[in-house]
Amino acid sequence: MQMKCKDIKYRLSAFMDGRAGPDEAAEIESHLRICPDCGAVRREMRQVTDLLGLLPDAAPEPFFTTRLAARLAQDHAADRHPRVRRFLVPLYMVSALVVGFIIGSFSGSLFNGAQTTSSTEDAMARSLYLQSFDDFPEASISEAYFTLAVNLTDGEGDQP
Amino acid sequence: MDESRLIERFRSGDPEAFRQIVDIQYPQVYRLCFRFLGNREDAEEICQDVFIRLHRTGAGYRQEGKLFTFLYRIAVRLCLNRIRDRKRRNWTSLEHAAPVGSLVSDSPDRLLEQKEKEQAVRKAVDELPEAQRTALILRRYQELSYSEIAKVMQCSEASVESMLFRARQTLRKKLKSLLA
Ligand SMILES: [Zn+2]
Repeated sequence: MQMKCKDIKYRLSAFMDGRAGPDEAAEIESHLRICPDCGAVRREMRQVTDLLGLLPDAAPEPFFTTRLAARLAQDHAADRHPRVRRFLVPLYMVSALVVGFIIGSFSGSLFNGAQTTSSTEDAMARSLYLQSFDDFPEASISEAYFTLAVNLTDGEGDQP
Repeated sequence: MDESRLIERFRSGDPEAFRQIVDIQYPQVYRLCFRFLGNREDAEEICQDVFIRLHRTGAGYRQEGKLFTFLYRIAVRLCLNRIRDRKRRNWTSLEHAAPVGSLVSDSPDRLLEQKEKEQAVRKAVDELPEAQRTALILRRYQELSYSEIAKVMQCSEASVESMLFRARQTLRKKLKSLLA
């Protein structure tokens, strides 16, 4: 049975993507040669494809792995120290550094004995050029700082 | 190194394997996010979320087909969530990318005309239903095959055909005034 214009128009999209088998493709081709209406639809579909090319592409930004490593380390620190996290929420950056130092040395001494051995996440973060992060003792000032950074961005960009 | 060996190493906790996966996959995941979100900051953030999810999945990752289909699936879901979130908050100020280099030498009139066209296209694409928009972006910009799109969207290839047809049909009607 011959395809009608309606069928042809439906199949055009897939046909133009090379999705029609040889028989179907031949039938569509021959229909397009004799039917100006379907021919116009094909022309417009091509133009739509061209128009879509107007939307700009974005080149990926360099040093993504470094930024990702920082995020992983932040998340990891936040997961391990909910107490530090809660304490630091309302404080401003500068005062937090001072308070964080005090809390950091306090909780650092608390947690030192119970510290787990290097988890996979630690290893991942290290491999992502974050060796220096692990050079600091647990809950040290740097970790408190990272935790604060997480808290400050909470609620703005986090996924629901 | 082939992908399945890299994934095996990643699943066994090899951090270097994770880093390599990120290096390989990041550019395309970022492009995909940017296509959906139209701004670099959001694309960067969602892209990080995608890899953090992969990282958390760790040993639990089960390979079914190419890794990128798994990553794209997460990316699409997160991007659509972000867009819904924006709509709830009536977010309007789309940054939408730098000017296109080839247009710099053109006359101001022509630049304006081009900019208007671009905005019309952007609007028409943004207004497509989510599934159709996703299929279209994966096809037109990420240049995925129908079977790859079907894997990302977890649907049949026939559905992909239908979604692409409807997306193009809608665009053809909405952009009629821009067609010669
Ligand atoms: Zn016809």
